[in-house]
Amino acid sequence: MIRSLWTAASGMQAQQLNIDNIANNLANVNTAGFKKSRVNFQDLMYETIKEAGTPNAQGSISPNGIEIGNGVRPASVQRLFTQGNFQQTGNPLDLVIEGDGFFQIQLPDGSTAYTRDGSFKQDGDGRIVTSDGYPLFPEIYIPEDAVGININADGTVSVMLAGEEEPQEIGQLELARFANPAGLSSSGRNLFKATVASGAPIIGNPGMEGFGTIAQGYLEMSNVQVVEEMVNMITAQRAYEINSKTIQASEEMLRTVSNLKR
Amino acid sequence: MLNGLYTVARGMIAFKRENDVLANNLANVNTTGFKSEQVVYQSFPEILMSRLDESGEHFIGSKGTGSKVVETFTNFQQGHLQKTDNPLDLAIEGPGFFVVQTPWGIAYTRSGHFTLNQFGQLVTEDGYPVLGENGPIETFGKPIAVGEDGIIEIDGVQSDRIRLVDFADLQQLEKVGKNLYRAGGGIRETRAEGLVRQGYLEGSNVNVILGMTQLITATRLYEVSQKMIQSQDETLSKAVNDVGRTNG
Repeated sequence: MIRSLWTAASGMQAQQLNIDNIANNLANVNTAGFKKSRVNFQDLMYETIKEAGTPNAQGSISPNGIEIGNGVRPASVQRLFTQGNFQQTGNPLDLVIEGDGFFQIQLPDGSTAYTRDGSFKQDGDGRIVTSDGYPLFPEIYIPEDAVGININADGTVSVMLAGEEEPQEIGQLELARFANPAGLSSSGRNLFKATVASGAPIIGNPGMEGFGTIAQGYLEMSNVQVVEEMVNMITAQRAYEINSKTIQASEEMLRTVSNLKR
Repeated sequence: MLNGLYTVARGMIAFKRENDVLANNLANVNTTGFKSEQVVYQSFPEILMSRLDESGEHFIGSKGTGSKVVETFTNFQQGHLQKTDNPLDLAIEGPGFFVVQTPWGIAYTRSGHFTLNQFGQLVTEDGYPVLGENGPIETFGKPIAVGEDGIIEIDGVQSDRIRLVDFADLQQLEKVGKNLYRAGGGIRETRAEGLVRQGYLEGSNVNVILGMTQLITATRLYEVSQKMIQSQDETLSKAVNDVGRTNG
């Protein structure tokens, strides 16, 4: 009946989704390797009541038409893969990727997931695993008698064995990167899955063409900027309020119409 | 007698339409690159009134017949630039539009939150390729740098230039939603003077204070019109029920 009611409602819904997303960003402000996301909005289709360029009654061409929009819709929730801050931990199995790339994780169902969260551990067999116990791919086993682990910028893993003088190389880290990382789907637990939109993974060694290098003893923190998110939250909340005022105004107009007939 | 009713009713229709437009502006207060709209009122042509008697026709004055919304005017004023640090976010400072290849032809946008598709092409969030001077922009999945002049460097190597266009008469552009504009027949692209800013997005140019004020005004004028209809209705009622009373 009154179009603006629905138009404003679309605005409120859009801002609600915006707030949901900001809440998730802020909830993950301390999650290692977390990448923030952002809701992008688009205006909805327009109803053209009068085409621009139609001749008017006086015979001249009216330069503008009448176009009335129908509100807004969230177009995409885009994940932003900017680099997060580094936190020094000193733990030899905490790794960050400086630059592009993801660690490859082998899931129990045999599929591969990708992560920027480099807080690795050893399991009972000495294998390098994530906090959930999923092994890093390709698998790397650390011998029981290793006294020191060294991971180079190019991803070579070497250990110092008890009683030996020379370090021994035991494996090579491989990274994956994607034509469109924003197209990865997030499956929670800091893991991403490849999709048609992301393109197929390109595998390579750290420091090679296009890949970032590895830094040992650091963690990549989330790339959420608290100030930015708080400002986004304020604007989203106000936008929500403004749209609720539009609904009030439209409602008042509707009431005015119903009071027309006495 | 009834003419007054129609005049005011036309006004109410116009205010309702203005309310629709304002609602759309306010709904898009957070939409990247959105350009606000305003309605333009025009009065209906005035009519001449004359009196006829034995001596002929006497002109007695003119009368307005109300107003209507004749057009919606898009305000192409620059929106504020918002820093995002995302290398795929582009904003235009100054006049100009990005050119987008859609399935129904060329479209234009000021909304620069671009992304990559699975082939490494720069696309809008709907997957429509953004055009450079040599066609779709390929990044090959490598880092992209865009200069102020729109020149694109892929991994340090200059590859293409963002196609920016402008129009002599922006009001001829048709809004199609999805932050896109379409140019109807007869409008020619001109060179754009705007600068490209990488890592920024252009916010919506909706002026909230103005929008809310206009919303209040439209709502109140609507109410005033309603009161006028009511009072005219009362007059009419008097004429019909009191003046015309036959049983005295």
